[in-house]
Amino acid sequence: MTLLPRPVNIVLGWTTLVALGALVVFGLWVAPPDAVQSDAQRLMYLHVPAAWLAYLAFFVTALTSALYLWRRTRATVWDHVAGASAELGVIFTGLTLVLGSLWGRPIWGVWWAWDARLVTTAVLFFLYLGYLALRRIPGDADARAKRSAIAALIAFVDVPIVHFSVSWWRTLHQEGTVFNSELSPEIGGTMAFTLWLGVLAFTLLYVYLLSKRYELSVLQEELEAVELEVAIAERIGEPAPRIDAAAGAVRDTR
Amino acid sequence: MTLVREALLVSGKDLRIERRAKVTLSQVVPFAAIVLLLFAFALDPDRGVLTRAAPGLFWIAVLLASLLAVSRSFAVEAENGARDALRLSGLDPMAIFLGKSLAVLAQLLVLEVVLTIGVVVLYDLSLRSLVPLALASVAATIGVVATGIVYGVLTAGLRLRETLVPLLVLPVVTPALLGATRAWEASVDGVPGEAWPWVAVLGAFALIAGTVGLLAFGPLLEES
Amino acid sequence: MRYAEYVVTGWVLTGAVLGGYRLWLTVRARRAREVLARR
Repeated sequence: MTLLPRPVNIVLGWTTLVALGALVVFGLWVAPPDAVQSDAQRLMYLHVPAAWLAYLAFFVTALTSALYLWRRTRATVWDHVAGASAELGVIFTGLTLVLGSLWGRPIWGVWWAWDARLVTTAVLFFLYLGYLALRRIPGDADARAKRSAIAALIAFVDVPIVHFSVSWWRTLHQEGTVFNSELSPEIGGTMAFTLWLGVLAFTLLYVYLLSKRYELSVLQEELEAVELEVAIAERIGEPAPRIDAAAGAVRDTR
Repeated sequence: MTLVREALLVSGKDLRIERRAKVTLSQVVPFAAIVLLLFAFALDPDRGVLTRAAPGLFWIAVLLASLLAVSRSFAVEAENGARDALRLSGLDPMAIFLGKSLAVLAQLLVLEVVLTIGVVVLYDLSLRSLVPLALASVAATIGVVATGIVYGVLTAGLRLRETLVPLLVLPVVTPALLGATRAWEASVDGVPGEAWPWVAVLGAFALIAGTVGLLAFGPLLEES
Repeated sequence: MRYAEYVVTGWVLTGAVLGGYRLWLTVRARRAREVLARR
């Protein structure tokens, strides 16, 4: 029912909270303002970890999708994790885009720039949305899991192609270089530490939220099965079955 | 029967249906032409924007039309259990994928010829280097069609597929749009040297899309 | 703080989105458990 054992979940939750708290302290206060970007630099401590997580979540979705498709490792847990990770991925991708926008505006004066990384992230966002929309279509759980898995893998293969073609396109136009100095080589000391702290805190948060989302996903599947039983019973005219009977019936037919 | 023979059987079937129903000819091509017209309303023709944007506008029109063409390719099997018949026919799923892709590819290439004439006439575009232009167009179309057919079979039989397929296909084919537009721009400017790298990118995309399609079509057809 | 409006907006938004999502997960899970327990 849970992805990780309960004690691990609890420890994880508190560790995440502490890490996030430390990130707030370091990001907003301890880390000095950048020489060039001043305090706008502080948005990087969120933007970069969010971007990292967007790609990590995507990778996890692809990996678990592959595990589901491969007969020897097929298990519903992979399908649930794939969906949960994708949902988290959408959130982090959205955050990456918005934070990038908020960071770019004071520094470059624009809300958006057609820089390779931002464009690829935008495409990633829509790839995710399509995947989530596909998952939402009701039907046989196994068929749904399989086609979602294939869609996830296709999207995953596509991302490097998109990144390559877009970055080549932008370097040809010579405009990308200005926007690409988000990770300036002079970043060091407290600033570098805060960045890594951000990556750590967000990764912990990702695992924690993934675990919670997985639980919800499993509960939703149970709920669907029960509602199906109820609907069928109502159609036939029999009284609605009780939960344990319904769960038992569902398990028997599998 | 060999793979190619079976594929030609399937594409022949699809093209014969098209020859009789003429849906692509009478609906999809006019739709793409209307899109070209709409662009003229949206972007004032008097300011030279149309000519400069012509390659991009052309490819957007083609992309939108390809969504319809792919949708149509699967609509012909939606009734009377035709898709089940296809599945049980004993044809190699790879052949079915190739056949359906070939049929849609043929229709789209015809559409692209028509649209090219349209763009030359309406947007005052002069095509200088035709070879890279043609190669880029074929490669890009193959990539788009292969992707579309995969998502077409993935969503076959699902409710809401009309709104889902565009959302699924368009983000995936952005490299094809990118490459095709850049190749066209280079060809139109008469600098074919800049077009060839993009033709290579498009070729790689077509190859990958085709490979994925060949592998994924069978399992997806089973589930549909 | 320079550019405070951007920095604060970014951090608050991030906190709100992630915190809100966590809250949403908890609420939905609790509701699902209630429905399952009732039947």
